[in-house]
Amino acid sequence: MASPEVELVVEEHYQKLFRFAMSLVNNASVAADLTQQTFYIYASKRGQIRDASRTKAWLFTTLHREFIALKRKETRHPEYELMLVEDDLPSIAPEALRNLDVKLVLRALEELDERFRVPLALYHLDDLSYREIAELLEVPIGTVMSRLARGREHLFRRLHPEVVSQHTNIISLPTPVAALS
Amino acid sequence: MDPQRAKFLLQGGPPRAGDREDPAFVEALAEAEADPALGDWTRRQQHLTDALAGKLNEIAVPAYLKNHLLAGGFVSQRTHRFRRRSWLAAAASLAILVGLATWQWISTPVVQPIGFAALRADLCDFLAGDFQLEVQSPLLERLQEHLGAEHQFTNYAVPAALAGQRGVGCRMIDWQGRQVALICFTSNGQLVHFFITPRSTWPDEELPLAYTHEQVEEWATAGWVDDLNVYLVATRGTPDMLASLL
Repeated sequence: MASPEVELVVEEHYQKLFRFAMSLVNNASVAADLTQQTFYIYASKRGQIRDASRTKAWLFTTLHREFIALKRKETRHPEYELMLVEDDLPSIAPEALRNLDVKLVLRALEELDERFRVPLALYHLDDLSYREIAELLEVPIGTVMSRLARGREHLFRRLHPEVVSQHTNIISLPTPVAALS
Repeated sequence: MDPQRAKFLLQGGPPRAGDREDPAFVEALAEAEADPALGDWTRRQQHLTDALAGKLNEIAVPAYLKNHLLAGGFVSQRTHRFRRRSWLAAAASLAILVGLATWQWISTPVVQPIGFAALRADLCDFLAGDFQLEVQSPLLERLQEHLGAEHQFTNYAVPAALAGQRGVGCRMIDWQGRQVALICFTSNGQLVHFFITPRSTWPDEELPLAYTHEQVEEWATAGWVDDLNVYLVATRGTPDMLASLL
């Protein structure tokens, strides 16, 4: 059994960590493994975390590192030039996004380059600030801003056909002909 | 701050609590309040952020995970395997150096297994590690219920000889993007591991032709295929021992 201290941390963070892992790998078995591995490392190294308020960031950092190790490939973080995303983004209504199947969103996220996927998941899943994401990924804050902007642009572009298709599946009822008086 | 600069700062999404005191964001948000067009754009970004955050928080968390973690099931087989392989890689590098020195005496090429042989080799490697099960139960029905509910894995046949044995637990494994279910049994004090993976994800040429026995280091294995799935049974021991269990 886990110690009471570890139990508290598991209770508080396992769902967010699993969802973060799912947004990275879109595979429940692998996501569960990554979550377990993260808590395994936490259980064995928690003495190294001197500031308890840093536990959440530590867990996300660890899971991200395990994800990179899992992929067994060199992950480089080239600096992106900060650019303003063009204004011709596909228009997606927030309501339409809310109505999409979460599996479609995960699939679209999975297609994104990892450099965009990771900050997007961190920002949207757990309200992490730009600064926290920058520290977690060990990149400048400007790079986080750029990746988030580009990531949202790419994600919404991928989701746009799904939103359109969802809308075209709605069959409008014929307009009743007004009775002639 | 001009609107373009403010938009530039806010384009990734509205600043979170931890960023709101940053002077640049304070200024950008003030500009968004003063400029109606920028204000509309910022509100739209906020709505999209909320919608996407809500959607990602809908990701279903497996029911077993919390109990499994609280029971101390932290050890991930996958990562251990990769770590083990990194040591193996280091050992392999050393072996290559030694091999180069004795190049003229060594002529047998190393053949990497592919297809079913690769699956068999990797699953035996998996078993050799300190893996965890998602649920534990002596009842096969309970284990099958879990695989069905958590992984939508239902279409397979359990050999009669195993179905009559006491269950231990089960889990799902991801192997090269393919689902592989594992159900563990005990028979006469011997652990028997039964793997199932859907046949539809395999090209015919990579499948075993018939029922095959193979000894992989300390693991005795038997593999076969039916119309729906590819199956593998493995136990630590000899082929005779495995045959007696099946």
